[in-house]
Amino acid sequence: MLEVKGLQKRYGSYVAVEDVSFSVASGEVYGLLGPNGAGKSSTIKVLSCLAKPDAGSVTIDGFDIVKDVGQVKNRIGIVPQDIALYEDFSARENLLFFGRLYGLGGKSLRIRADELLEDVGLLDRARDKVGTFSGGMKRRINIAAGLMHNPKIVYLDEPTVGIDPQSRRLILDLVKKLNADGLSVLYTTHYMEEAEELCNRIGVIDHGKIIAEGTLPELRAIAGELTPIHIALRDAPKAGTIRELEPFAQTVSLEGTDLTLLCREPREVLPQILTKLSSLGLSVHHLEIEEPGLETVFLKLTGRRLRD
Amino acid sequence: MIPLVLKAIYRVTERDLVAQLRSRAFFVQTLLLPMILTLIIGTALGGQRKLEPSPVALFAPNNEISTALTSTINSTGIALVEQFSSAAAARASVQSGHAIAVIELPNINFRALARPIDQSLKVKLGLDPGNQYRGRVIEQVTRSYLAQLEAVRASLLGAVRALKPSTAQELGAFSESLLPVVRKRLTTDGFSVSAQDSGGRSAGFFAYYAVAFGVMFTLMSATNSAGGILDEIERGTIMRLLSAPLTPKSLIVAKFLALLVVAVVQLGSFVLLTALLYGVQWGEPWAVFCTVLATAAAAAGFGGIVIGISQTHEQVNVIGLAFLLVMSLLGGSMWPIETLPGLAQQFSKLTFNRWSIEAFQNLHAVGQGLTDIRLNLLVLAGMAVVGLAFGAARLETRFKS
Ligand SMILES: Nc1ncnc2c1ncn2[C@@H]1O[C@H](COP(=O)(O)OP(=O)(O)OP(=O)(O)O)[C@@H](O)[C@H]1O
Ligand SMILES: [Mg+2]
Repeated sequence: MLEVKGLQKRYGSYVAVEDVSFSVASGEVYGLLGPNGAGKSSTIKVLSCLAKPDAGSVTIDGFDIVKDVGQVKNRIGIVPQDIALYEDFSARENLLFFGRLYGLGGKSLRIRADELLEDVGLLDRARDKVGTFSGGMKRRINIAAGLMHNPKIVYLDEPTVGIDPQSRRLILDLVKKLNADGLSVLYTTHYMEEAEELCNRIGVIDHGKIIAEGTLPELRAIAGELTPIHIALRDAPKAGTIRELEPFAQTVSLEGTDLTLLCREPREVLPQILTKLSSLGLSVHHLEIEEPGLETVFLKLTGRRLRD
Repeated sequence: MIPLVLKAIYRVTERDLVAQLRSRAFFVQTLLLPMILTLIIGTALGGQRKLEPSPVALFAPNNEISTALTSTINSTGIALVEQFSSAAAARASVQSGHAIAVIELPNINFRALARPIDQSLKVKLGLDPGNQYRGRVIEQVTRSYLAQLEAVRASLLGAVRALKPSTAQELGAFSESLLPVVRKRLTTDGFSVSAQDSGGRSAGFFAYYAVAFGVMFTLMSATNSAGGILDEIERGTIMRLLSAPLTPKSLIVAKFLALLVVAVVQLGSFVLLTALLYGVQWGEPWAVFCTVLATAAAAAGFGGIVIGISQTHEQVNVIGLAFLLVMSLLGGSMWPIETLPGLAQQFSKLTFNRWSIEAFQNLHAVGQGLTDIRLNLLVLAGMAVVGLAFGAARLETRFKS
């Protein structure tokens, strides 16, 4: 379906996407997981025909994104990270307009609009101006607007950023439903729970590069049997602290007062760690043992947490 | 089969127009303001200037001489004599701006002409500097009338001397018998001007400004449209548009197609309103329509330039306003181009305003046709193409980088 090879995207001399390769199979939900500024949106921008790649190639159904723009555009649907709707138009008007852009019209388009409004749970608000909607409602219409022309693959760029749990649930369920109906999805997020719940395969992106890729079990294997322990200290420790803790963990990282350790047997080493900390005169403010997951993978690969 | 991109262009244009129609600001700026302005300049400049007679104040005894002068002046068609009972009132009438000239005749009647009188005929003429041209005509008419009067008097006196009437009664009877002849000479052979409206550039002062303002309004709308493109960028909707079957070029075309419609309506309403309310005759309808269209297209080109060099709304507004003012000052939207110094007149050729106003003027006042203004139309169309191409190229680099 979608094939990305050696993609590079620069802004002037700044390299936002350095070398990204992945593929999305037909009917698959592929997750692009990475922290802020990793290059997710920049990748999507190129994939949406909004910017030319500086290097590499992208094909959709075998059509080149630069040479066969017409064929590509009909097959892709985009859901930008920021709401991209006309606030002074109603929800239905927005959907109809975006459908008409693709030369569609008539009764079938109206039916399609109502279907999608139903899917995103806003059929009863169809006549209201988008400007009067809540953030979550706008996000849902934002998704529907990218689907009006029945694309084969949809790019969802962080579609759940900053919304209430209810809208988020609706969106996640919608993505599952759309995928069940045969739509391929490229889903970017920095919420690993979402990637874990939705995606068949996940690419972990950081600093414009895919640093790991695979199904959830495959990625878990990368992390090995490591469990992250997050410790928030009351005061920032001295420079030597990390070295003092290294015997207890695979990796130790420190950001301000936040200490993160990846440990093989957390329950066994934790008392030792705490003893060590108090002997160093450091008091613990908060402690958390995380379930091993994508976060662990990211930590293991980069030494940083995915989110702050 | 219509290409997809054309359908998309149409849809964007359509949405743009719908959005504008829904906005109150648009209604006020695009339709209401032009109407109000037309009414204001119409009232200020008195609509279409017609050759209507201006009042001339006359203070004179009511006798054959004053009656004859009155009919002579009235026969010019440019003035209408109004009789006043005091010299002061007659003068005040000019000072208040009502009459364009005041004439005071001495108190002599026709019969006195036949008698040798000591004082020569002294006529006082007062003119209003604001109406010199008509005033000078009145002066000339009065002078030539007096010259005739002198001639009549001279021949009368000659006849009287030759006949040597012995009594006053004889003289009276003689004068009486001459009266019809003299009266006839004085009135029918009087100086006369027959005036008619034969057009001319400054005849359509009102028409000039109506168009000049109309052009300015289309430029204002162009700035608005440039802002509209920026809105799409800021709203992010441009991402959806460009990932649909639209390129930056076709998007610019779509946006400025909407502007074209708006500008045609704006300029068209100026033309129609002045024609309907004030009877302005714009000339060959087809040529007028082409000029409206070409001006609207040039305004779109102006919008293309504004969006091409602006990154933010602030820049659009400032640059748009600066351009608008400079072009309006230079291009004849504020005062007629003919009144500008020579160099400025050359520079005015760089403005949309000039080419458009000139075309309208030539159609309206000079009575030219479509082929006569083809250079103007070509220049306007050229400005449209260059401006839009520039805007599209800039938008393209902004997006494809
Ligand atoms: N138009 C642009 N001009 C210059 N730099 C840009 C531009 N767009 C993005 N960048 C830079 O490129 C890098 C990658 O940005 P991008 O938006 O792709 O990240 P992201 O993974 O989507 O992050 P987020 O999770 O915050 O959305 C960032 O450092 C950003 O500052
Ligand atoms: Mg992003």
